[in-house]
Amino acid sequence: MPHAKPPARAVARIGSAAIIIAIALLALAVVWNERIVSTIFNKGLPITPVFIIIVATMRKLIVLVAITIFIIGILLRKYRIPIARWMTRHRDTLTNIIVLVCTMLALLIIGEITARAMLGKTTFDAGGPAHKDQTAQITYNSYGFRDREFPVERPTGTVRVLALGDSFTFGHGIENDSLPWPKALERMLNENAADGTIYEVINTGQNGYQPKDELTTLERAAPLGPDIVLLGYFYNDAATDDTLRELAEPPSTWSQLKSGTHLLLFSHSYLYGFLVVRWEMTRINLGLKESYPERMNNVYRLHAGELSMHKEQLMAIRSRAETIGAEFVLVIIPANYDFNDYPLMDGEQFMRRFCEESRTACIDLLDTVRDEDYRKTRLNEYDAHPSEYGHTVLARAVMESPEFRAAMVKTSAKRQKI
Amino acid sequence: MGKNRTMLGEAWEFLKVRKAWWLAPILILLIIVGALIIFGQSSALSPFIYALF
Repeated sequence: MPHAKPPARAVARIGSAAIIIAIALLALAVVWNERIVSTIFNKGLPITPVFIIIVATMRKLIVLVAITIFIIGILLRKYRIPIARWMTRHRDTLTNIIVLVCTMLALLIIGEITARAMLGKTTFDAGGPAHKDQTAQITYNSYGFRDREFPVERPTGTVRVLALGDSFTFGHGIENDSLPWPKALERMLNENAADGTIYEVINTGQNGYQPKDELTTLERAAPLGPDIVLLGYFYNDAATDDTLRELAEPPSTWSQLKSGTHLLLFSHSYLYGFLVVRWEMTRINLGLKESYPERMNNVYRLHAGELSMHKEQLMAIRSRAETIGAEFVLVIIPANYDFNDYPLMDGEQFMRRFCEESRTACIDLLDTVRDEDYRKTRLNEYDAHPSEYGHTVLARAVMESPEFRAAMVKTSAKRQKI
Repeated sequence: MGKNRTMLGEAWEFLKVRKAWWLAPILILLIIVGALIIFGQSSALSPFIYALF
C-alpha cells in the first residue's frame, strides 16, 4: 500500500487560519475598553478599580494570545513540509494529546456547569460570582454610596452624619439597604428625635476599603457638609509601614497579569471560586496558613512598632474631618468571634492605646457586645461580618455611647453659635 | 495480589493496560476536588471572600 503524501497543504491552511484568528484578536484588543466590556458583560454595574484591572489584564492576555497564535501560524506555513512529516510519524501521540486537551476542556466545562447548578448562592459556596451577584442587588446613589440621594445643601434642622468604613459598615451579606448599622442608626436617631431635628446618616462604606480609600471618600463627600464623621474601623484596616510603601509602588506587569487573571476567574467562574475558597480553607485547616483572625491579630502582635504610617492615615482622616468642621469619632467594630475568648485582643489593645495617646474620641464596641451571643451577631457560621441583628446591636451601641452623645452636644452648640 | 490492590491502583492499572491516558485528568480532578471538600470545611475562621480578590 503506497504511503500517504504528508498533508502539507492542510498544515499550511491551519497556519493561515491561525494568522487570521490572530489578526481578529488584535482587532478585538484595539476596541477592548471598560465601557464596551461593562455594557456587554458586567450587568451595568459601576466601573470599579477592580473592574478596570480585569479589563486591562484581559486586553494584555488577548494581545499575548494573538501574538502567540500569529507566530504559530507563521511557523506552520513556513515549516509545513517537515511538520506534516512529523505529524504523520507521530499520529498516535498527536491523537492522544488532542484527546487529552479535549477531555480537560470538557471537564472544565462540565465542572463549571455542575458548580453553577449545584452550589448555593453564598460566597463560601461560590466565591466571587456569588459576591458579585449580591453586590449587583444593591442600590448606589450618584456618589457610588449604598444609600439614597442627598442634596448638597443640607435642609434646615438636619444633622448630617457621615459613616466611613469597609464591609462592616457597607453591610456585606445584608440584602436590605436599610439594615447596615449607619442606616439603623439613622432610623433610631429619628425615632428618638425630641426637638424635630432630622438626622441623616450617610453610609459611604465599601467592601475592602482601607483607610486611604476612606480618606478619599471623605474628600469626595466633604461638599455634603457633615456635622459628624464616624469612621468604622475594623482590624483588617491595619498594614505595616513596609506593606503600605509596597502598595504605593506601581505593580509590575507580571503581578498585574497574575492578579488580574485571578480576579477575572474569581469573579466569574463558580468552579474556580469553589476551588479557591476551599484551597484557602484546606491550608488553614491543615495549619499551613494562619487563620484569618490570627493573621489580622499578628499584624498588631508582631509589628506594633511598624504601624506608624497606619496611625498617620487614621490621623489624616480625623484631621480632614475637623478641617471641614465636623466632629470626628472612631468606631472600633468588633469581629463576631467568641467575644469572651476574643482572638483579636492585640488589635483591640493597640487601638485603645492609639485612642488614648492621640486623644481621639473612640467608641470601643467590644465591651458592649460581650454579653451577646456571637453566633447571633454573626452573618453566618463561616463569616464574621455582622448579621442584621448584629448591625442593630452596633447601631444602638453607637447611639448610646458617651462619645457619640458628646459629638451631638458639640454639634448642637456649634449650631447655636451660628 | 489483585485482592490487595486499592481502588486507585486498579484505576492506574486500567489506564496503563488500556492506554486510556485521556481519562487521567478526570481521575486527578476527582481526587483534587474530593480532597478539597474533605479538608476545606468551612469555619468562622475563614477569610473574608473579598479578601481573596
